[in-house]
Amino acid sequence: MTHDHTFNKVSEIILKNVGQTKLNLNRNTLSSDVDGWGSLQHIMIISEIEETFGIKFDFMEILEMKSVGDICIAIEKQNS
Amino acid sequence: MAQLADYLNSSEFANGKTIAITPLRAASQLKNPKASGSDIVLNIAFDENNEIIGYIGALPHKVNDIKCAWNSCWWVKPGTPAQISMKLLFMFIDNWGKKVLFSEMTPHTSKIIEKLGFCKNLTTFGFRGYFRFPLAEVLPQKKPFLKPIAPLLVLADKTLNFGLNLRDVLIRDKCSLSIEKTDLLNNADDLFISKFDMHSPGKRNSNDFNWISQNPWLIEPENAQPRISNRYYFSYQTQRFETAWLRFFDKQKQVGLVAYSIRNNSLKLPYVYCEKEYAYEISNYFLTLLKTDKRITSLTTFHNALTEAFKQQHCFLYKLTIPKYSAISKQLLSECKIDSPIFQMGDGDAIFT
Repeated sequence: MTHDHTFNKVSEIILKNVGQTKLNLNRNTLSSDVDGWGSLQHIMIISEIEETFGIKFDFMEILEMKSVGDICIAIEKQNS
Repeated sequence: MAQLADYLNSSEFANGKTIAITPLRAASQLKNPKASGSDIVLNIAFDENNEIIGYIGALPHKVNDIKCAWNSCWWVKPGTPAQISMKLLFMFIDNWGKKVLFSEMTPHTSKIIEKLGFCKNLTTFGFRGYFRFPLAEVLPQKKPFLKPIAPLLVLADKTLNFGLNLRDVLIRDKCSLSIEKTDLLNNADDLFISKFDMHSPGKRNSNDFNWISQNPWLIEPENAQPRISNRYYFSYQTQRFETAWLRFFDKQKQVGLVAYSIRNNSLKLPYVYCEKEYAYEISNYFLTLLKTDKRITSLTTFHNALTEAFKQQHCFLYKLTIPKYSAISKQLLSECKIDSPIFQMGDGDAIFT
């Protein structure tokens, strides 16, 4: 899976769960920059990402994900 | 709170492989003088088969009349997704308006709470002194492969500890203060305590302490209900659990008030109120207790002055400095206006077990 594919898929999941379709995300976008990306949405985003990519994160990894890029790196680390 | 009794009477409680609270803890919660009927004291997560996969508890408290809660137990079934654990934690924090406290956290939980950034984390260091050989108590926990030879370790302890009787004879220092033992505190004790706990978010009064004394969370096996211990992750049953308060007097003047608990072989001092200058005398009292009660192997305290006093005593086989991890939410800190919070060992639910 390419980095771009991972990023696109993660962005799609995030935008769907925060209820925004037109926002432009990049790897540096922080969860705190996005309206609607609160702690409960974060849990739902991570659940869907785990299911989509067939991976599991632990508590500390989830807490360390502050940006879109952090999530992508965590996915790529599990898949490598 | 009002639904706790419903849960205890439910089929989930009767038939489930896991239970989220024991009848003892529930009965105790219902009598908490700082709680009200609408307080949420337990959040439970169930799977699709209605089996419990996680829970988080709250112990209602008040700091300077501000309602808040201690976290009291947080468990998820191994293998459960981390999100369930997170969701339970966030529910606890939200239920209490971000006015929460944590005591006796594991290092892992402490890192999580620190990472979340909404609390002030505190690490305090206390004293644990081993007065007798605790091989049978300590070694199998650290090295599980030794469990089959636990009876041999008990024999080794008995032999080695017999040899310590000579040391006990040589311990001459006695406490020069007069002492009164009591199970219950009164208004005079509240007045005494108030001189010491100004910076303590965990502060309790005689009403609270008497509720705690009369509603322990541990029970001896002969009085325990069946099918509780094996379905509850945290403590329920123990061979020995005793608690009491000691008032120390220098002539007629009260100079100390100390709570102690003995759980199996461990003596702990969950609450200590005393002036620094009397700490050494008070430590002498506990050495006498250690000498006479031959079942006790260790003593633990986090009180600064007592820690220093015990470190000066030469009769311990081994002395350890041990950490304790606590946290208080920034929201609560700013509302209760305590700048430098100080916690006692028994704060939160620690005193109950």
